[in-house]
Amino acid sequence: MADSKRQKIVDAVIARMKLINGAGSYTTDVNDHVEDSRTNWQEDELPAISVFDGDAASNLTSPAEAKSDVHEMSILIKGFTVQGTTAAACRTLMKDILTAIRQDTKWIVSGVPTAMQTRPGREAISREKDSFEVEGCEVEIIVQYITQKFNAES
Amino acid sequence: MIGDDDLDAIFASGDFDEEATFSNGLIVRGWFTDGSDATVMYNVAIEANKPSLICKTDDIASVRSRMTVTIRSVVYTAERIEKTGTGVSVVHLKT
Repeated sequence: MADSKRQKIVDAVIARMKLINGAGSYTTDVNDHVEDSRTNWQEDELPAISVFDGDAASNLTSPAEAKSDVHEMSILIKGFTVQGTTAAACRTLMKDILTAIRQDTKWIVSGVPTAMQTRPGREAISREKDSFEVEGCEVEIIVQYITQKFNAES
Repeated sequence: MIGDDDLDAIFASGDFDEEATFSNGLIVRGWFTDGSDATVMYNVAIEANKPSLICKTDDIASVRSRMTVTIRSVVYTAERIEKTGTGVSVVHLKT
């Protein structure tokens, strides 16, 4: 049974974030610490990224009896770093996340685009009083993809 | 009532206390802890290091936040100085 397009897109985002290895265009090395919807990390695992898929709004492709829907799904890429002596680490990770996204905004898997396009959403950095030595960032992207009506797979 | 002698017995007994050297040259003895605690950011919990030094408030009267302090050969920054009101202060540290 085939994975849903939602699953394929999330898997593609996770695989892309794992490219952030401190080499080439990337400054941060996440050391493969990128996981699907992981809700807890230890400080010694940082830098790390959790990827969450969010709400998806659907629209008919035509006002008549359309056979397919266009979905706009929010994906939240949440990065966490140890702050260190300056507050630059999380800004750097955010830069690396954006660099990774722009490599291919159609999330091509095995030569096939899973998405029609990707738009930037919100960006945020968190340094809270009780966050001790760590800080976090959140990059939201809006992924637009098409499926047949009531068919999550194609 | 807790007196200075009692606090000295606690923080300078030589049993559990550590020497801390601040960047202004001040050397004090206190309890150092290198524990961790959970902090939540964007609905994700991070178990983060939370080092601190507990010592006599009178001993660190000249210490200000953002000063550095060396404990066990590790240099920390004093993020926050919390007075407990009992003659004891907690210096919250950051590596």
